[in-house]
Amino acid sequence: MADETTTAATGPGAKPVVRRNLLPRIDLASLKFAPTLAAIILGLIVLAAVFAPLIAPYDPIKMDPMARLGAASFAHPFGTDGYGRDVLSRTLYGAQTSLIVGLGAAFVAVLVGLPLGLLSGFFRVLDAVLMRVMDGLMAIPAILLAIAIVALVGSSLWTVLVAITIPEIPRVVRLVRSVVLSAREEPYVEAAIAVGSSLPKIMWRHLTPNTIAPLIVQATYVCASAILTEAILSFLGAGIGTETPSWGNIMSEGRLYFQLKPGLIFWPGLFLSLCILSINILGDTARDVMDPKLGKKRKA
Amino acid sequence: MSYLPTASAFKPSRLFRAAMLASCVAFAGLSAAPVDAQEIRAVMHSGIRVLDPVITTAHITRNHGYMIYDTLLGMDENLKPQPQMASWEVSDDGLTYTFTLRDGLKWHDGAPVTAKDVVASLKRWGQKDGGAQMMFKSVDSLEATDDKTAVLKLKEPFNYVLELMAKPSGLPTFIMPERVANTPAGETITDYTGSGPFKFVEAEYEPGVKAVYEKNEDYVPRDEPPSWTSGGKVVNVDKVTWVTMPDVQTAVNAVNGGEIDYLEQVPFDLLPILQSNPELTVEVVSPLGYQTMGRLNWLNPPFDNVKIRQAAMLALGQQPILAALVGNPEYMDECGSMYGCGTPFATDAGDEMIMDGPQPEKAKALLDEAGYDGTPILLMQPTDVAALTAQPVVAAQQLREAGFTVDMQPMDWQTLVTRRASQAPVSEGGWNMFFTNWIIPEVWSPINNPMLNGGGKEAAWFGWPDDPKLDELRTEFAQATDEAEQKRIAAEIQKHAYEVVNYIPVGEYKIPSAISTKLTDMVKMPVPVFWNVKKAE
Amino acid sequence: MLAYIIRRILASIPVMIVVALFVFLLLRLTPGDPAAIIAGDMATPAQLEQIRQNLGLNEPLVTQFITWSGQLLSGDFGRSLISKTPVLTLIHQRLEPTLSLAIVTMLFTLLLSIPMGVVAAWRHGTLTDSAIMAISVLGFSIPVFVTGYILIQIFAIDMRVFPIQGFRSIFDGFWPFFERIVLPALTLATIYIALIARMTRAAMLDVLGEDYIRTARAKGLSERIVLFRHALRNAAVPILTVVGTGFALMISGVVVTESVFNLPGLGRLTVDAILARDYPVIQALILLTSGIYVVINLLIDISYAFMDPRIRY
Repeated sequence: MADETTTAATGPGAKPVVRRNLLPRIDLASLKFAPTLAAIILGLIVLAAVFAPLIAPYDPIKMDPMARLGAASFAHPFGTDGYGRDVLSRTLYGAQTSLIVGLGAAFVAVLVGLPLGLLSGFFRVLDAVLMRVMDGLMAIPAILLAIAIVALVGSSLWTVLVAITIPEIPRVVRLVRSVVLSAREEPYVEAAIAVGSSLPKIMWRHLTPNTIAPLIVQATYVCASAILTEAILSFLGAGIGTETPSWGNIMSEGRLYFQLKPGLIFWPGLFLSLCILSINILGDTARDVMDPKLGKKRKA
Repeated sequence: MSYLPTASAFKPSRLFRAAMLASCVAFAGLSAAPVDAQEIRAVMHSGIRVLDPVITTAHITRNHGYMIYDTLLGMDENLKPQPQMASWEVSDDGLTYTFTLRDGLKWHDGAPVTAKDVVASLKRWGQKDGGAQMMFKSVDSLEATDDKTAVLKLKEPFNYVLELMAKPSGLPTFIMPERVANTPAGETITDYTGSGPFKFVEAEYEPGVKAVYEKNEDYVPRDEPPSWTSGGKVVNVDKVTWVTMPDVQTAVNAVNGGEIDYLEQVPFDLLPILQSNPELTVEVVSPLGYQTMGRLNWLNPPFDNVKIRQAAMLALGQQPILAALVGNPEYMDECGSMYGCGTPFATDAGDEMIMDGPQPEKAKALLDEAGYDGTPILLMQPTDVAALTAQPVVAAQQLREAGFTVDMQPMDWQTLVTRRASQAPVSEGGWNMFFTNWIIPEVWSPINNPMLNGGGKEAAWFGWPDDPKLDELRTEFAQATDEAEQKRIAAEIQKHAYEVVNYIPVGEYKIPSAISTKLTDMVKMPVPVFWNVKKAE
Repeated sequence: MLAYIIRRILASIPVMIVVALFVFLLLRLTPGDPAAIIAGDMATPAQLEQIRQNLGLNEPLVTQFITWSGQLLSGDFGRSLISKTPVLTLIHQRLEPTLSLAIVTMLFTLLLSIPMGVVAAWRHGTLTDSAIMAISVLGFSIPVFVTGYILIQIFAIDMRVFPIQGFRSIFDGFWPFFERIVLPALTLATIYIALIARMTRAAMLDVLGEDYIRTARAKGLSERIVLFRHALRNAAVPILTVVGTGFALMISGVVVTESVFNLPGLGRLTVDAILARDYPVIQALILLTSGIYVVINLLIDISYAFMDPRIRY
């Protein structure tokens, strides 16, 4: 990373150098402080999710309406919700649901979106058809899909996951395609085509690497947005049922007590924010490591 | 708010605050449109989208009906029918009712109200209202004999005519012009001419957003003081605007900040926020509250077995359900009367099974006796109606504690109302159990109460109890002539309904309203109305 | 170029037809009965049947679809099943709040997020970079309704700077409009700021590694010109894509913001219509939104050609 400073400093533009001295030069990436912390936090959240049944003090759906909206106490460190359920236990179990929704949506959206985007960016004819279908898909609101799917096959984590993921796919496709449209005109790609490299090889070796950097950013975004969309669906009354706690539905149920019992929103919200923040920092780090151009720059 | 770094960290300098406030005041001064001083801005319990108070029993549409229409009769606070548009005389044999319209009744377009309008309106009402349908079976003829007189002739005794015509809920007898009342009962009206104390401002109507009513200057109120829906409907404001606010938190903030004058339903848990505001009165406007109840489907196993239905009733307890739904003891009451507590027919006949609950041990014993095989109970939980989400959640736990297997299915209310109409087995889209709420006037007699109909798959309400004995008792009730006799039969009906588990009342609650102290003299009754109320400036 | 645009517009017609058909089928196959919502709690099966008959819901699906398409072709979007209001009137009533919110949100977003992204890329790896990214991510790691409640609590309740809720048309004067749209637009912008700042940073980082940037710097151009004229222009393609597709997010994001701030917009109309199974309204709204997406995506694709000369159509 020191190279970057050298590059800029050897250039005739002296101003940046001066300004840079005014700012503390704590190079987080080189210290690997932030990514390490993010990895630890995310790891803890994943552990909490996996081992929720062992560490949660209570059954997350076990209620005691007579002890509702209890303040934080030794028995209930995060207090109790509107049904007298333990918020700590619900938040821990909620990690399971929310992680499945977030990671699941990101994984599926990339898995489906990447090949479609590659093909669409590469073949003009396919592009015309595929992108119009994507345009159409994007116009259907997640809430409509969620209600339709829930009404058709019943409400569960999986139906909500499907409803959230489908509208994300066109965004991934469009992004990949836009990168491919540019990259396809690069000399090395044209050369590869000219020497008759096989199509999968061109796609995999030459085009895919270009898409990885923006795709990682997009995937972390999809992950975060899926977790939040689930909260929005709960807000609208079309989310995962209250017997499957998720950070989204805990916060959505707790929103009525926003002014009086802020803990109901704060605790799951804290987990949610930390989780999304960590995923993003890790995404950025991965992106920096994988980006061929940044590597080029470092070597320079 | 201490947990919010953004909130606590944001401490603007005094100067900045002063400057912001000053500029706001300045802008506000500039932009202040000539506000109508006598406008009441109200947030009702839901947005209004259906404007035909006969096609639907939705409360918001009924409230709309009371704004722009007048009713043939009114009901006073002692639950007695009183004249409103018309006075009446009953013949000695009790079979002929003569209604005479009072003077000064005019439609909003200026035409006079005639007895023909009354007859057409009552006939449309008779196709829709459950009690009225029962009444019309005993009706021989209903005719206008002159412009002011309508005559109803019965072929057999039916002693509940006036109560049905005066009742404030279910479907009240809103009188519409004949041309409007001739709309088929299955079709929504599109002409909103009434003769009531307010006129509907169609140009400003935005479905799901707002409805605007202006004072009907030509309305001639009765001379008596107002009492429920009877007496004089004197309008003291120029305009009433119903604003829809989809998020209840926003509505609470808005009434707290003085942006609206009236919030019909305050969520119980948010009461402390509003009670500390000296510019607001928080009180229960309706003296009779709501009944919340669970209904079992008699067609599908396991609830086709009366013993298992009884076990379900034993498993439930009112207190925990009310606690989750309401929480604040001031606004909830355990009540074993299917007709609501504090009503003329209120009785505790046969209510032990629910009032002593939850009794999981007894329920378990009964389940064993009935040979319950663990068939899951499909319990429908509406997720988008705040007053209905809690009951199934608590009930699911209570049923499980008694040994039931429960499959609680969350769904939006519209999916629920569609699914509850399905008589199919559970595996083919049917159901076992759901909860809903009624205002007390909708259940306060064996004739009004929609659940107390034993007509089975064809005629009964969702759940379809096939219970001929119940229907016999109900007919007996309608023909009974003295009040003591009616009360005795009503108690017998309830006892029987509990034995067969027609439905399970799980308690009563009252919903407080938040009212700006600028508003005075609001009529206290089960329907929020805007006559008589005054607004100070 | 013109030929391309015409081709695209023609190509979008089948898309709209497919969308229309898909939504029509999805709606009719989803359990739900508008008659039940009209009639209320006490209706008997016979009464429901009567209403259904009247609404034409008992006709075979094919007949219903043909009737509806026929009306569409003659410019008639039909009437709401529930309120009987013409669908176009409903949309007309709700269009302005949503458009206002979307435009003000985008303005806020672009004004904040692009400089943030550019600076973060320029200061890549420094504390400034991390701080900018952390702040932007924090914005979208909070559900919209919570952001909204917090802003209302601070600015409308505690400081009393802005009203709590409501909407006024901009034609009623700028300040009454602005004071009511500011908080909702900020709330909604928090989502997009995160998205667009990150995308700007990522795209800028790609471009800043290129040779021509070094050349530009070597020519002695000021850093500002290098960043905003050379680098940003070349980084514009992915940024634009995200801005455009961000509009799609508005439908789900906007309904919550509209609810929390009581803006009578299209998002709420859509959700209300879906929950009430008000078929003609949902169908018209989805056609409208898909039309908007088609246009936005077309605009994005056209602007690619301007931004990146390597792309030709």
